[in-house]
Amino acid sequence: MGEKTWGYEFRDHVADVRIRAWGNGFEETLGALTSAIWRYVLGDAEFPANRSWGVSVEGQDIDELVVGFLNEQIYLYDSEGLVPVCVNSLDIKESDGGYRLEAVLEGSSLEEIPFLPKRQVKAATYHELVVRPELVEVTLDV
Amino acid sequence: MSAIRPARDKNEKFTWIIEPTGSMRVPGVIYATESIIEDLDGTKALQQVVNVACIPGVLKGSFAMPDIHEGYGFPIGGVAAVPADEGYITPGGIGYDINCGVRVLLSPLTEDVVKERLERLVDALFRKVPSGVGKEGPIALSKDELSRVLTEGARWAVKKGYGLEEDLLHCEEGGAMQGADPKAVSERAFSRGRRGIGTLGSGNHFIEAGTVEEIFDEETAKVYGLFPRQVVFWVHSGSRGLGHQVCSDYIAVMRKAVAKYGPTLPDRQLDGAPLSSPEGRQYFSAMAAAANYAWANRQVLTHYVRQVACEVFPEIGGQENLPLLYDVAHNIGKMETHTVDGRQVRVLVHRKGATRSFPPGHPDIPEKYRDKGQPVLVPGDMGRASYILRGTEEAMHLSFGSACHGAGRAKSRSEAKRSFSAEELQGELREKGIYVRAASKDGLIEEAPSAYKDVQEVVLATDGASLAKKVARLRPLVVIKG
Repeated sequence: MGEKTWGYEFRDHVADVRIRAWGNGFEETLGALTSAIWRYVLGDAEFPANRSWGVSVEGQDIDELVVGFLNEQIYLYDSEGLVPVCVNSLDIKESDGGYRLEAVLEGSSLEEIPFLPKRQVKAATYHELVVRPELVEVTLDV
Repeated sequence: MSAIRPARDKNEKFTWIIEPTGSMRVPGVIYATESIIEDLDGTKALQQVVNVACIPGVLKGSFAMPDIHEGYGFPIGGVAAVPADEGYITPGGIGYDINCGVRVLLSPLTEDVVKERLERLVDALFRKVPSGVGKEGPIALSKDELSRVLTEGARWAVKKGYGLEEDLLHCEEGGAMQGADPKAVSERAFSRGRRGIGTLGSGNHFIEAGTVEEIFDEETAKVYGLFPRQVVFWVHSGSRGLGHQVCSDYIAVMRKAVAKYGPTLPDRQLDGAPLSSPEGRQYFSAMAAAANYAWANRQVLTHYVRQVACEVFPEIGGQENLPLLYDVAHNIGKMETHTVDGRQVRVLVHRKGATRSFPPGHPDIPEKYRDKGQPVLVPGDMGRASYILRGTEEAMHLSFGSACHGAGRAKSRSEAKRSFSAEELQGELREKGIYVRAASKDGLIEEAPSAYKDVQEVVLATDGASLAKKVARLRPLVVIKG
């Protein structure tokens, strides 16, 4: 089995939560970031992925695309109770002078998780945002 | 980047200035003690004061209240005013939790009467008030009904039986901002707001019962209805998912607006648009709608608190005996009239973690308080103290009528978690006679008293700079956290 190429860590931010995630390209890095966010919300308890759903966002640049991707996850969690466990596939393309991200997320429904979430996330912000294929750092408003 | 070092004003002990350089249009002005300024070293809060000074149209200064700490875009505790006709509005100056705010309910009880029933009170409050973390609130709204909430604010809740008509007199803006337009609010925000009314939310939101420990200004305390050892209730919450979505939506809109109108500011989180532009006007209408949602939310939470209090303490004798002292919004943009260069000017005041502090005689404060000034509500942390202050004439000149909004965080959430366990914290608070319940242990630790600045230091600077003057200090008895 090959060495794990992705991961994440929570970094100190006085008011909110800052996450650094890394991986071998955007798919892994944003997958790691997704895992980190939902671990922050739900805690360490494991739950199975029993469904998948597509996500599509557009942005004028890569920063907007990444923030949009995370805020889409927060919106789907808040409005439909969809909780991602991992990113199954992710593709970024140039489109009409900007960028388009299409991804398939795997996870579960909040109703089916046998424990209560620990925290809430309001939004992903542009504060001190770092976006590279192999490293993303983002501050969440919590 | 070199460190920013504000210089103390020669004549004012609690005023620190960052002279304009580069793209700054106005100076940075921080109201603080020396120790608060020292604690900002190594944080990005001062850079954020500088960045706010670059906003087009910003008048007089980029102001920071004594509870200043690092945010995103604006620092928390940041205040900036722009002309209503040609200034620039930025969602980053208001925040994701639009109209996050706090209110205080008065009771006729004293601490000695309630002390044997505090555990019952905390359990009953925790059972009654939905945190909204993972569980939806009990009130489900249709789109039409939600549109009414967005227009009517706290009045919607009172009409539905959640509270008293008199409550509306004691809310900023009467509990509903003019100019709110549900059509400026996205379907996504509607969707996130459908089940959020009557929920507390996590993070620093709370309901607290506290007691008046010391009175500094007896005349004002009397007018406010405060007396020694009195039990009061605090409610701190905001616009929940609906407000968060409005902010996210309009930050995306403002990105495009910057390409259209310029300029590019040092922090993308400050993106905005002229107030007179379609984007600026729409954001204001959506922000006002979200603010109204928050007022309706706090009004419903108030009803729950009154129900529980009357059940645990029947001697209160009815909900009408738990009147609302006041409700303040501390994440908001308000159209107000201020004096600038000797002229009366209509301005938009961004307050991001700052409380309005209007003086005696101001027409926008309730008649009952008009001789004394607006109640300025400053919750501290769950282990030490909170304050009630009064607005001042000086604040109108110093900070566009603004003061601090709380203690302000001093430690990150992870640092707080490294310091102790939830059990240790609960034990420590219990020894002080404070009962706490929280939706999660992690959430409780992250809000530990030691994660916050000492509110007494913040109030020392607030009072010393005359942004607001002390009326009473309170200490917590019972706290529930979302």
